[in-house]
Amino acid sequence: MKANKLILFIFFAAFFTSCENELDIEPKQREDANTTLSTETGVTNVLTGTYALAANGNAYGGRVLLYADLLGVTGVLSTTDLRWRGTFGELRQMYSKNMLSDNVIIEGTYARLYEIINASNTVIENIDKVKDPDRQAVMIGEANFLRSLAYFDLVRFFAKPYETGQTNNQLGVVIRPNAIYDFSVDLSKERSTVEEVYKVIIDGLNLAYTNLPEDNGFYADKYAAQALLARVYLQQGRYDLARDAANDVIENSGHALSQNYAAAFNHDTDQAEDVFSIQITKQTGVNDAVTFYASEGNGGRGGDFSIRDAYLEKFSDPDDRAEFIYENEDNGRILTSKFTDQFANVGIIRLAEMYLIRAEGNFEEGTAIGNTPVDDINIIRERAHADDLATVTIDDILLERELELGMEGFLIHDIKRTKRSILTETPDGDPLLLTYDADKLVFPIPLKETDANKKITQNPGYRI
Amino acid sequence: MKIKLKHCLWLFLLFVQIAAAQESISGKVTDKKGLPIPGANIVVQGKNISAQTDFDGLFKIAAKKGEILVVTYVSYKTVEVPASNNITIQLDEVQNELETVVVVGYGTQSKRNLTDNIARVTAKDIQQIPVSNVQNALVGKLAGVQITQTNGKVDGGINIRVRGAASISAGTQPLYVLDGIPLINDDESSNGAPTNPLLTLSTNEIESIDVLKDASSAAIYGARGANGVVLITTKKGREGKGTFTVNLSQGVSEATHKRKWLNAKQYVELLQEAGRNVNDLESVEDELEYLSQGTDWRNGEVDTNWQDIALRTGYTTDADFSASGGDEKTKYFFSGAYNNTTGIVDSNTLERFTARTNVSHKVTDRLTLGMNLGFSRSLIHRVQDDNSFSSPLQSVAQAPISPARLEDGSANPNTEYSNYLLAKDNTFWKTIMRRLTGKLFAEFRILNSLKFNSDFSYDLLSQTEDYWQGKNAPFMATDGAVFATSVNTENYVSSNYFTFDKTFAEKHTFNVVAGMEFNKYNRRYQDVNSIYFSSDDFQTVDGGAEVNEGHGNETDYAFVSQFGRLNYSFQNKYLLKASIRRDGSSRFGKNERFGVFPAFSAGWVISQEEFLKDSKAISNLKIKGSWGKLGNAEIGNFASRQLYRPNPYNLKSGLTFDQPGNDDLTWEKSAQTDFGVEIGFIDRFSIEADYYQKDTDGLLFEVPLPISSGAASINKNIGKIRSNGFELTINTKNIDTENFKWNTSFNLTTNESKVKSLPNDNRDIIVGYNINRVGENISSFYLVEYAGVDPDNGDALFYKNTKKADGTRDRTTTRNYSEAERIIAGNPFPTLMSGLTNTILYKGFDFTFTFQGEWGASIYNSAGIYQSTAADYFDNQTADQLNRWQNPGDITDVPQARFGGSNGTQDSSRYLDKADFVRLRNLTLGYTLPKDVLKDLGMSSLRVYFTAVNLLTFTNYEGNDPEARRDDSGIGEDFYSAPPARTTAIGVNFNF
Repeated sequence: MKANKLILFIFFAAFFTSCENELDIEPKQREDANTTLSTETGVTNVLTGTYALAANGNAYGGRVLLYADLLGVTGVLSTTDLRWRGTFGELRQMYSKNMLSDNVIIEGTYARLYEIINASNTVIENIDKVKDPDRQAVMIGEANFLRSLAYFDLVRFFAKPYETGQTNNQLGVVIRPNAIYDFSVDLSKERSTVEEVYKVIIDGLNLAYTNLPEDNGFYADKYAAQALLARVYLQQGRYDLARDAANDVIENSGHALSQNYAAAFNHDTDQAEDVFSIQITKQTGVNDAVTFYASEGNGGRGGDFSIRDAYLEKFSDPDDRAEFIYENEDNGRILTSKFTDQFANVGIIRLAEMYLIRAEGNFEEGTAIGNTPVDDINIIRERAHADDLATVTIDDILLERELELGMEGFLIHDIKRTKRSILTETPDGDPLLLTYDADKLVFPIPLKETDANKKITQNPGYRI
Repeated sequence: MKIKLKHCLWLFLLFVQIAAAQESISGKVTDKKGLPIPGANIVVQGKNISAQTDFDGLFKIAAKKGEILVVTYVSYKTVEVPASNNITIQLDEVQNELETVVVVGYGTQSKRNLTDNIARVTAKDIQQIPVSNVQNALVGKLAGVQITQTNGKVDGGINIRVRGAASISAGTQPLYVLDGIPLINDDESSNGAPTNPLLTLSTNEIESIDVLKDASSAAIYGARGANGVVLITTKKGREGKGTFTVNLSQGVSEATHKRKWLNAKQYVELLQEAGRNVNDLESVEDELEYLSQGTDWRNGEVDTNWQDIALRTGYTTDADFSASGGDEKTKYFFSGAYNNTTGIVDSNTLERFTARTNVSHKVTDRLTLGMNLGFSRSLIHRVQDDNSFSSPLQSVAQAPISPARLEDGSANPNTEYSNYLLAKDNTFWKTIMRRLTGKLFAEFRILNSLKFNSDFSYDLLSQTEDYWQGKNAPFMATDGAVFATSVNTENYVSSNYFTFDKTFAEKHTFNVVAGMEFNKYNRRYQDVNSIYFSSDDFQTVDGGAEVNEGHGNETDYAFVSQFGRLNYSFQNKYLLKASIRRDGSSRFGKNERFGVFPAFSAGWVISQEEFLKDSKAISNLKIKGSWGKLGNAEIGNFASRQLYRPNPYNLKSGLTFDQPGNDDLTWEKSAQTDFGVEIGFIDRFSIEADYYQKDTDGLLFEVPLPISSGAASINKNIGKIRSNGFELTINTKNIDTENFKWNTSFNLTTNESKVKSLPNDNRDIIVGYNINRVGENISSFYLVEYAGVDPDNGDALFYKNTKKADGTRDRTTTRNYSEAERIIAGNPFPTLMSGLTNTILYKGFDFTFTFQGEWGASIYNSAGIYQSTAADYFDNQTADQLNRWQNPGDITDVPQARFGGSNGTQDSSRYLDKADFVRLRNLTLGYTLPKDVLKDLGMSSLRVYFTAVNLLTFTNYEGNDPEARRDDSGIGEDFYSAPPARTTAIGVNFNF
């Protein structure tokens, strides 16, 4: 009996032993941040992951482009170039210029762009884990490129326009100069001025230009940085700098216009005209331009944003670009053929834009660096089989941008930098002229940011 | 393995105390039918000697012949007999609720000596109610337990709140324990709307459900007890003649309530007016032309009632059987059940079978082994979540002038929104839940007063989903697509514990439980998607030309726990209970990995005192109080870690920041205090009243971050909430005669759950339409306040509600929404709940009905900004929009119709409505045929019955139904949500 009791005792005691080492369980689909940021592979992957963030539908997968055209058209049936008939109320708010700060689509884009910024900062600050100094330089260049890209769209959408020739002390967006690792502290911060944000953008792109190689595969290269810089300078009205940057890309990058207009779009892999594009595959990235511009048969929602006669009437005849459309048989809507493959890349910068920037830069400066304005415009027109122009005015150049770059995310930004207005309507149907710097043409700072960031100032015209 | 001696020390002491019993008198204790009663307590009167019966009801006690033996056992009348050898003592069962045995963690206890607060229902309360899930059958029957079905889908989720919320961001659902097995309760749905994993249970196998509400009872479940614990006990066989029961029923269901929508004529009238008011009749009529697809919309040629297509008549079929019985060594229970439910939501069905076997066998006098094993398969044809265009209920947004189908019978593809009939015809979403739950158990009686239980349990939930989309499915650009998921979730638990039961000197009764438990959980998930199909005949992944996407992941957690409990009663008068549990979990950072959860309670049974003992009027009077600590660990498996996740780009591997970490993250700790009183009068009228207060500290919070930081939220233990309220239960036997019995049970609960403190200096936390603000109800609605319509011009008005210098709010109105500030506009949770059940038995008839009521909650209809806008867009409108302002001087709360004019269509209290209701929750009328009629048929009983669920609803709520809530997100929100079903069924029970 005694022996039995002893055996029992040992048996039960075993049940009470500590299984506590069973409590050390590591996640299987995630990696501890300390691990990620302590290795070269980890830091390299964070950079690739930053591109992946950019490839989301609510960033450079398409919506950042879509917003510019939604805000830029009049939204009045009789005059609008493009008509929004989609069911997303949040996008309709942009179309009707009546945005609210709880707009979750705007919030999604804002959040995504800051994710890109924090990831870029993380790569830059942890670059010492990468052994090869050349590789380090390239990675810093790419991170700076992506960060500048994100800040540029933030400041263009969420702040009042840049005013040429003066110090821009109006509120821009929050600048995060350092990567954030400790989120347990108060991260509230006021917005910096537009001037300061543009400085961050330009410094970043200059560094990227210095660091990046001439060819970097489908990642951002030297001329992607220079082309974006041209776009930034143009937005600031610094025409000489814009012209020179665009000229550098045209002359030195090795990119060329595609043979015909249609060939510039719907690429699975980058073609000669693509200076920088977001890579979409069936597994990675979302092409949201297709979502909103294409028929259901082409992977879209039937053509939420369709073309009206007002736009087509802007073309002279002949012009391939006016023909680069199709009718959705299901609902009779006229849709652009620029976005018809849901797994195609989303073009962010293509070479045609550089010709248009150089033309405008030369025109404004009265120069002919690289080429004359009229010749640059005619290069673009000839590719579309449109008749040459004999001379060009600034209006011709700006019109050419609408014809060439329509639905590619330029409209509202061009209106703002050239101080044009939009004749829209009030909800009651009365005419309403929105000047280039109208409150209603600036996105609200998302409610989620203002609720959690007690130092931030909302844009004028928005209470909450 | 290292052995921790300190854990074992007390155990050792127990063993050395083991003393051999002396032999003298032996005997047997049985019930009236002669079946042995194990565990009965025998005391020699006037001496400090006691014994307990074994499994055969046998006992031995050191007593001399002629000494008086006092035999007691819960649920039986105490007997005093003179001792004699080989004596057989018969105990009479008492039909007194005080003698009811309730299930507590790791054991049972009689209600008489209970100091806990436990609500209980038994098989007879829930059987044959025609609902497809067990939880739904409990509604209105348990004080302090709020059970809300999300909506009317057969697979709809269920929300249970035990005494209000103990958490805001972490899980709020109770822990479910079936026969000692903590059940997997993960929603494994991939389509946004939840599935209810407990759908896999059938009511016919359930003996009882006990809800542990207070800390004293739930603390034995430590870190997982803060939201209450639901103990489900399955049926077991009893010694004696075997019984065989069959039950069949067939029911019909309809929606409880449907909202009224505009018909074609009204729709056209309102839209034309809206177009004219903004000088844009042309574009309105263009679109009407398109929507009507060439039919004569001006004269109402097509008038489609989309709601009637989406909500149909449902059917339920239930068939189940059970067999049970046993002899002195072996006891068995077998059951099987079949349920087939055609939901009231189009394309939504459930087919389920369940089976169970519970067997135990006495291997030796001391050792009993047994196994409980249940399996089930539930096949559900699901529809998309409420926020999906192809959810049937979203079709109420379609224009009534649009034909639903074309002349050839195919779905009309040219509607305002994607026609859900396209999804119905060209897609399916098939979910199968398979569940296997088993327990192998051993009970070893070391001494009459000491036993050891060892259980090994296993729970497997295996769920697959197949989502097929054909060529003509909405938004289809790849000639079809198939998405298939598979998830296996396993939970295995080893529990080992000792139970010591002894009464010393007739006065001091001890019950001690001590043990340990190890619980490991694993979840493994895979999905794959394929596209480009040659034809719609291929509906599996293999049919696609390209497998374009796949995922796979796995996650684990583990708990290691030790627990102990002591119950002491002195002369059944003074009751004392203490329990403690120490839990360790993998979910928390190394430094904060363990928690200790103590609880204490005490009771005084005043009616046992001399001055009341003989009172006829007061049969029971007890006061009790308890305090204890509980934890809530439901925050995800790796919530404390700073993590990166894979995020590839162009098929190159990439990593993206996933979650900010917090090394100090630990359990939510809830302290709960309970005071209660139980009063019984002349054994026919009993009242139980309790006051409770639950304080949760170190609330787990996803604290919103400025999104400009690059992260949306961080998990922190910060903040406090307090839930408190009263619970009252009154049971009466109104009439109690041989042929006529009428019992009434009434319960009432109040609950208030307030935020006490919040992170970041009590900064408001706003998520969607809900706010958590200090001093306010949890998740209060936070909305701009609608002020009605300006009678002069039809403009919608809002109260500004901006804070003035003196702290008051500016109550002037504005037509500019942006000038108005949000205010706390309502509570998504009820503050008063009540249930009333009457049971009337008259000869062969039985009649039961339950009323249920809830007061204090509001529901926000977040689809109101599309549905009730006086034709701001082409969505069909609720019928009340016809009351729009038309002429100066019109007094109405519906603004002027303005197409695209956003006239009052923003989110505001305009779309918030009180959801108070009283409902005839269920009603059952049965008739049992007289026994003599049945003799020849070989049956022991035959009963036919009529039963109904949600038969009547009384409410002023304007939406579909106060229990139709959005199923993909949101708190207290309605978004095209289906009303629940009103089901009536007839059935028959046979007993052989």
